[in-house]
Amino acid sequence: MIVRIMADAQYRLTDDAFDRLRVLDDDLLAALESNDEAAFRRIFHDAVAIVRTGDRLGEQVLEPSDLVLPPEETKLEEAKRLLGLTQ
Amino acid sequence: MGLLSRFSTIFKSKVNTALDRAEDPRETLEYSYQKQIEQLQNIRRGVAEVVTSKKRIELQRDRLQQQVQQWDQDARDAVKAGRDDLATDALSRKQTVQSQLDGLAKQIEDLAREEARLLDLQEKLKTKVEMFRTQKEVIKAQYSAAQAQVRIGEATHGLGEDMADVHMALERAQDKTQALQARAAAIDEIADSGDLALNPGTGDAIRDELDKMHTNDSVQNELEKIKSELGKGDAP
Repeated sequence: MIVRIMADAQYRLTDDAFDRLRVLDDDLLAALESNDEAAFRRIFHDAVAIVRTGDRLGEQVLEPSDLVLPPEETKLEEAKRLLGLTQ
Repeated sequence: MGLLSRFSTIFKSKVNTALDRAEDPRETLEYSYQKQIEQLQNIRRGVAEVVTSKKRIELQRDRLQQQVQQWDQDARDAVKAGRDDLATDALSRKQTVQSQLDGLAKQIEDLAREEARLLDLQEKLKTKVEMFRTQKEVIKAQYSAAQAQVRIGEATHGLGEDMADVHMALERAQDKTQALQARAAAIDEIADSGDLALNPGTGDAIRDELDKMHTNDSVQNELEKIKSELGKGDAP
């Protein structure tokens, strides 16, 4: 599976790593919905760390991603904006 | 569906919208390539604008820094002339602008980081567009193969993602640059008019009052310091 971290790069993840990312994906939404900035930052940080365990794809690769993460330093408010939940 | 999946869907739909499809896949290839070259040029222009704006903000910051030094000198001159009242005014202006400047400096640092990353992304994108050009010719040569269509889709979408990524990074840097410009201009206005009432408050009356008290205290402290440095202080 290919995962992109915006403003960074694409990474090829093992199925196992991708599954772990899926779990965090739901937790992340829960943190967002309960407006828990601390939890959001922690889980998002973990998600980025999992993606970075994958093989970084070079500039020679032109493949679409299976999952896209917003930039590493994204905060809860920005995430809401990116999802179109706020202006 | 989790947060990242939702975000991916939104992001990909942006990419899809950008990749207006032509009927013949081979046309899609040429069309995308032309579009990529155009976008690359737009991005280059955008990045250059961010760089120029940042330089302007830095110049403005330097100018304010000089004014802070000037007020410090003015305060010292006033103390020498025995005009503590003037010195107090000069020092409170100095501190007001100084505290604004500290915030500005931190934001400029943030912007510098974004700018560095943007330049890096732009470089990578250039390489990728070049890769696309090469792959495009290969794909066209083997167009009869059933796989060609799939590969066209992959290559255009892969690069489309990169385009959208750099584009969003550019927007982010542009937003920050604009906010900084506005802030620097506001500080400039305070510095020029010397009107401390222009100092943007926090919106919380009690907080503002406390801040003012702290500023007054530190102005007094600084005044005492200057006086003792200049041998004008009350005998210890």
